[in-house]
Amino acid sequence: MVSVTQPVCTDPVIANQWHAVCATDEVRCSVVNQTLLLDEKIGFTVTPEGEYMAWRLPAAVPPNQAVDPAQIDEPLPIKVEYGFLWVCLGDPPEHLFAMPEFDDPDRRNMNAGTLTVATSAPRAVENFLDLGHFPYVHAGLLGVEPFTEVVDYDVEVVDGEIFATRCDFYVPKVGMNFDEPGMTRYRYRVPSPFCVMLYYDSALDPSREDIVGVWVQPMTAELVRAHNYMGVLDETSTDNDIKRYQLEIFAQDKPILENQHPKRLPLDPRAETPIRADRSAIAYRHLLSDLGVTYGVIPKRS
Amino acid sequence: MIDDPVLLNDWHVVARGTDVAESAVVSARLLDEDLVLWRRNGEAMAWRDLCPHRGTRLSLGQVDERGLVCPYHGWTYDQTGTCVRIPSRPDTKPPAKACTEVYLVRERYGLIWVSLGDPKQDVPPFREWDDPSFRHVLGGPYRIAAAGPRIIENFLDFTHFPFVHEGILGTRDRAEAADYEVEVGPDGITAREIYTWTPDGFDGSGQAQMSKWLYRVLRPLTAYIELTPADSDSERYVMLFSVTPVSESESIGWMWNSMDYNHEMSDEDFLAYVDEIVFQDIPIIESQRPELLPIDLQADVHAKPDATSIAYRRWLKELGLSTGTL
Repeated sequence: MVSVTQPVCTDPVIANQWHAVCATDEVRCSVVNQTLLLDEKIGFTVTPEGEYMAWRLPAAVPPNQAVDPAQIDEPLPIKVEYGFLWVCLGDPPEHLFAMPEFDDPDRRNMNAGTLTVATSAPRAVENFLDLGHFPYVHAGLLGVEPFTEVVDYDVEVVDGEIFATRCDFYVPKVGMNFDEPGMTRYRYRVPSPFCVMLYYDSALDPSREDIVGVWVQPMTAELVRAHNYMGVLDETSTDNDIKRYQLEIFAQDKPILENQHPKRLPLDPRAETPIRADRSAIAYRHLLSDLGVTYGVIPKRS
Repeated sequence: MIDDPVLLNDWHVVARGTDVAESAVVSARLLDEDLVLWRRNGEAMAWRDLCPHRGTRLSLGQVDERGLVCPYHGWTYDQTGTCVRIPSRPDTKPPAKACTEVYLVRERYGLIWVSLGDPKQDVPPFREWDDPSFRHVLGGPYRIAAAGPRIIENFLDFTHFPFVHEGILGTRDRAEAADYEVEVGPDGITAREIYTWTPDGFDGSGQAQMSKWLYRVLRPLTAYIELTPADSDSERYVMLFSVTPVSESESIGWMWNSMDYNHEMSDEDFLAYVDEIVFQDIPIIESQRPELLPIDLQADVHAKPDATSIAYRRWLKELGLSTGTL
């Protein structure tokens, strides 16, 4: 049975998306797990048999309240994919975006942690797409002066997804098992409005790519949880080290994101000052505009 | 930004000069506008705290040899607020649009004064500042959860002394106030020949005496007091008090206290005396309702010694001040 309650979010594009709400390895069994999605309280759980469920919560409940699955009369559509639980408050698409690499037998697919950030989902996505901030916000890790130039790269939209390719940048330490600083070729992908991915040549096998994904859960229009996914080819680093590196980087972005004004992403091309290095951000703002997204943005004046 | 031409076109204190050291970057807020303050070759700058590229707070950035550097992408702005460097495109001239919003700054009396508009007058005068017989102690910054005009009105009021500052600036058995003169001119308000009984002296000296007060309202949110013994001008204690309207209901008070005598009292003791009095005023001011100062004179009950307040409210109404008033 699918929910008949209308979502509070009046943006149908966003309400009808799949949104990650939790890494599956963090869903506590048989009790109500709670979060906020598009201004609505939702509960979710997993049974001892491994069946996941999500539903709207009329009000917050005490911690560790037991779940009686029979009492859930209006379950929300869910998907369990890529190590995360995805929920839709409206009418979801049949499939989540494809990530065939997830099934590689030697890939380490990890929940790399979740951070709450007081910003809009589109600001968080746009920050992830941005190379130019590496030498400033992630100095010594993902960038270093004087290697600040963002050379021209390609941006295209294919089947509604944005791809930015040939993004070459000088990076001191791409990931845990990268020892030498050097030029790195990144590839970015925006598979859905609030999900964003980064691909780069693996240290272990340069013919294949490591993947970092950020699934941004819009709690409200100006508050998000950013779920970090990593799928890497790495035989030496511990899970904790890989996770810590990713969280260290994201924690550097947090104060920048939380101090941006306005918090909602302005879609009018004249609203801020884009330059050539921002082509992927420009494409992202265009895409949101074309889709008619209104949640977490300042729409273009028509 | 609060849209009140009277306050936008005036000067307001946003920091002590020493708060903004060479190469330091400091944030401030004035009339609901976030500001970044920084200093280069001795000159202090005050800009809108926003990088036009991605809406980032410049106050999280730092100063290098070229100017103020945005913390996000390293866009660098020179002292005129013009972007001179975009590190991701080092060989491209920054677009003309890449400029910050620059505000006027005057550094006077050890304070940084900013105007968000087009001021028709200079920073309020403070003649004693350049008089070497005076020494100066700055009280504040005092953060007060109240509208600026309420705070200035309290500064102008002496009939609360026996109640709020009992034992220091007044006693209840000598609460009566005599009539005095108030003049309103184009440059503000002057109230003179006000006498009060100060049981602790007017400077905490312990010497009970009659004191003479002269008040000047220099600007809507800046006022001045000259205090002398009732029967002589031999000892002068002056105060310049300016209130920064952070928002309509949040303010910061800056009070210069200057004396041309009693130089043996330490600055610390002088400041402790000033602080004690101000901290007696703050809870009273913060308790006042309505929070905004009624400038319709029917709204409050006035007594004759309130002549300065009445003149102040009339003057604000004439100026057309809308922020912090009803």
